[in-house]
Amino acid sequence: MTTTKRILLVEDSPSDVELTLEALATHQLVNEVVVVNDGVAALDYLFRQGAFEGREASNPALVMLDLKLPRLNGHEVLRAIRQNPATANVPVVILTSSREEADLAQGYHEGANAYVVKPVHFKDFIEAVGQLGVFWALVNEPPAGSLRRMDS
Amino acid sequence: MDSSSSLPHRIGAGIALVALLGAAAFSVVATRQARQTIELRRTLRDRLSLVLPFESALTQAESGQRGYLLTAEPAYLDTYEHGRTQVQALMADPRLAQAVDPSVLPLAQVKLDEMAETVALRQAARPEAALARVREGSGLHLMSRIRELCNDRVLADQDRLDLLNRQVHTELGHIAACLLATLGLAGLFLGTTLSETWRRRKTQRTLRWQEARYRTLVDHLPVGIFELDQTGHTIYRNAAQRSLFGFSDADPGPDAWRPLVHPEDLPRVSESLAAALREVRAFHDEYRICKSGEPERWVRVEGRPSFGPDGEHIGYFGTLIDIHSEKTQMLAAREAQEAHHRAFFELATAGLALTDLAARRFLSVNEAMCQLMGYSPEELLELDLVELTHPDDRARSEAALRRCIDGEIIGDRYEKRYRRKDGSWIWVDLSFALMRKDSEGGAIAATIAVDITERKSIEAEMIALNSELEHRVAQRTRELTDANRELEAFSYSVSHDLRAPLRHLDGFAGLLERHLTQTADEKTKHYLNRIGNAARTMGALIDDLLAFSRMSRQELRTGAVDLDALVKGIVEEFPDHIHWSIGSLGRVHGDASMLRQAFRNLMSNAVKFSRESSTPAISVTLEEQRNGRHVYCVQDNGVGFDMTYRDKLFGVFQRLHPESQFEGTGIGLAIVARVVHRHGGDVWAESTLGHGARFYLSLPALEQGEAA
Repeated sequence: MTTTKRILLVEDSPSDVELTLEALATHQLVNEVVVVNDGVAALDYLFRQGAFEGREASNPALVMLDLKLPRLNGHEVLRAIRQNPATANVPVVILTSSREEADLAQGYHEGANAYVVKPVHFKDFIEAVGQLGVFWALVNEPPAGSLRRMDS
Repeated sequence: MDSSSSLPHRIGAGIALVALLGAAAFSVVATRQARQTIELRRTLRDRLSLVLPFESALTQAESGQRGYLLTAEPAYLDTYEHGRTQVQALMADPRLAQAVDPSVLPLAQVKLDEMAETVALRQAARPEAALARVREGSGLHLMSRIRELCNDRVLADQDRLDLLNRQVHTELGHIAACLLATLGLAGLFLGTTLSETWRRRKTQRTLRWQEARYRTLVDHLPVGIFELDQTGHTIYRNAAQRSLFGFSDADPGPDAWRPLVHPEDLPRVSESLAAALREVRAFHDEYRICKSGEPERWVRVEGRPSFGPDGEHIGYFGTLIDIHSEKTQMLAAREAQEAHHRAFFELATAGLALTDLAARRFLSVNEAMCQLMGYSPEELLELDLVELTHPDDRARSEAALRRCIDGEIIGDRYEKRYRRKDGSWIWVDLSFALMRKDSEGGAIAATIAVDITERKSIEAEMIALNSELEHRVAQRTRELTDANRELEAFSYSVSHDLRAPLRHLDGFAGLLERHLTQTADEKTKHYLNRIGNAARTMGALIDDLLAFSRMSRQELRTGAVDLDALVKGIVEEFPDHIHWSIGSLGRVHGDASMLRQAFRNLMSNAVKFSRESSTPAISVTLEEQRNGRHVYCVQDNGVGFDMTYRDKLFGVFQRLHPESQFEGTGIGLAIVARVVHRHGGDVWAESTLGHGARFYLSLPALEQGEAA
C-alpha cells in the first residue's frame, strides 16, 4: 500500500524531477513528495485508481504540475482535478518552462492556484521551487480531506 | 290653355267649371223633384174637391128624403132630388173611386136605393111602410159608415197635403240657392278665363319680341348654329353657318354639306355622324370645308339630338366653328415636333423602338436598333420579340411585359440577350416606358436598347478573375494559417523544450559546483561559471526571440491609447538618477500592450546607452502631427551610433556595440520596428557618435469618432 505524501510532483523530465527534488531537499521536504511521470498517472493517484487503487483516502497538500506531459497534458489534468468534487479544492501550482500568455491565461482559467515559470538560473530555480514547497506544504492550511503535518 | 298658363290658374278654372256643372245638374234634379211634388199636391187637392161635395150631396139627399117622408112637402122632395142627382153625378166620375175607400161607393148605392124605396113608398101614400123602413135603422147606419170612411181618408189626405206644401217650399229654396251658386261660379269662371286670356296674349307678345331679339343675336354670332329635323332638312341655320358652307337662306337639303367636305375627311366624318344618328347621341368632329375657288378651312362641328315636348327625337342642333388658324398652327407645330423627334430617333446611337407589348412586336425601329440586331427595318418589324429573346431571359422579359399590360407598372429596365441575324447573342440594357394603352389590351411602349455585350464580357472576366483571386486568397490564407499554426507549435516548443535543457545545464553545473565546493580549484569554478553564463544567455535569447515572434503573430487589439500615461508608467521602472523630460504626447490609435513594449524597449535602450554619461538626460516628445500621423522622438545624450550602420539598427540580432560594452541580444529594436510597422507607421533614427541618439516613430492618430 502506497502511503500518501504531502506533495504530488507531476513531471516527465528526469532532469527536472531531480532538480526539483534537490530544491525540495534543500528545504527538507523531499520525503513529502510523490512523483508521477505523466497526466494519467497523476489522475490515477489523485482519484485512487489504477496503480494507486486502495491508496489511503486523503489528498496531497499541493500538486506541482508541469504542462507538457505525455498522454494527458497539464491543462487536461487540471480540468479533471477541478471537475471531481473530491479533488476540486486541492491546491495546484503550475510549474512550467512556458512563458506563453495563452498557457498562463488558460491555467488560471482552469483553476490553478499559482503559475510559476521555471527559472533558467539554477539558484533562482532552487529558490523558487523551495519557497513553493515551504509555502504550500508547510505554511498554507490545506482544505479539508488533505493529509496534515503530524507535528502541527 | 297654353303652356304659359299657370298651374294655380288651371286648377282654379277647373274647380270652377266642375262646380258649375255640379250646380246645374243639381238644379235640374231639384226642379224635377219639385215638379213631381206639385203634381202630387194637385192630385190630392182634386181628390179632396170630389170627396167633400160627395159627402155633402149625400147628406143633402138624406135630409131631403127625411123631410119628405115626414112632411110630404114637395120642397123636401126637390132637396132630395137635387142631392141625389149630385151624388150620382160625382159617383160617375172615375176619380172618386180612387179618392175614397173602395167600400164607400157600394155602400152609397145601397143608401141611394134605400132612399129611393122610401120616397117611392111615401109617394105611393104608404107613409107607415116608408117610416117603418126608416125605423129599421139601416139607413142611419149606412150613412154614418160612409161618413166615417170618407172622413178618415180626407183627414189623411189633408195631412199629406200639408207635408207636401212644406216640401215644395224647401225644394224651391234649394233651387234658388243653387241658381245663385251657379251664377256666382259662372262669373268666377268667366273672370278667370278672361284674365288668363289677357295674360297669355301679353306673354305671347313678349315671347315674340324675345324670339326676334334672340334670332337677331344668333344670326350675328360668329359661331355657326344649325337646327335640323330628323331627315336632315334645315329648320334653322344662322348667318355664320350659312356663310361657312356658302349656303343661301333656303333649305339646302340634307346632303348638301357632303360635297363641301375635304375628300380625306369625308369618310371619317360620315361614319362618325352616321353612328351618332343611329344611336341618337351627341357628336363632334373636325374637318376641312372646301368651297370651290376658295382655300380650305378647318371647322369644328358639335351637335346633339333635340327632342320634342313629349321626349320624342325630332332632329339635331349644334354649332360649327371656324378653327382654321389654331388647327393649322397646331398641325404645323406637331409636324415640326415629329420631325424633331424623328431626327432624334434616327440619330440616336442607342437602339430605339416603338413596341407593341401585347403583340411582342416592334412597330418602328431606328437605324441603331437595326445595326444592333443585324436586321433591316422591314425584317425586324416582322419578328416575334419572344423568339429573339434568349430562352434564359424570356421569363424575366415576359413578366415585365405582362405586368405592364396589366397596369401594375408603367415601365421597366433590365438586362437581356437578343439573337442577332447572324445567330450571335448580344447583351442589351433594355428600358421601356408605356406610352399609351387601348381598351382592347393593346399597349404601346417606347423602348431603348443599349448594347452592353462588351461590358458584360468584361464583367464576366472580372467575375472569373475575382473568383480566381478569391480562390487564391483562400488558398494563401489556408497556407498562411498552416504556417502560423506551425510557427505557433514551433514557438511553444522553443519556449518549453529548448529552455528545459538550458535549465538542466545550469542546474547540474550548479549542483556540480556545490558538490565540488571543497575540492574545486579556481579554473574548475571558472569553467562551471562559463557553462552557467552560456546557458543563461541562451535563455535570454530565447525569451527575446519569443517576444519578437509574439509581436509578429499576436493579433492587434487596437483602441485609443493614452501615451502620456503609458510613458509615465515606464519611466517609473527606471532608476531615479536619470533626468527625464516628457512632453505632452496625446493619444494614438493602437494596441496598448504592444506600444508599451515598443516604448519600453526604446527607453531602456536610451537608458542603457547613456549610462556612461555623468548626467543622463532622456526626452520623449511629440514632434509632429500631420496627415493623421503622430511622430514621436526618444532622445538621449548617450554614446550614440555611427550613422553608417543605421540600416542594421532595426535588424534581428544586429548589434552596433560589443557585448562586453553593452549587454543585450540585439532584438529590442527589431521588436520596436515590428510593432511600429504593424501599426502602419515608420521608425528611423539619427545620431552623431558620442553625442546621443534620436529615435523617431510615427503612429496613427485617433480615428474619427474614436471614444475620447
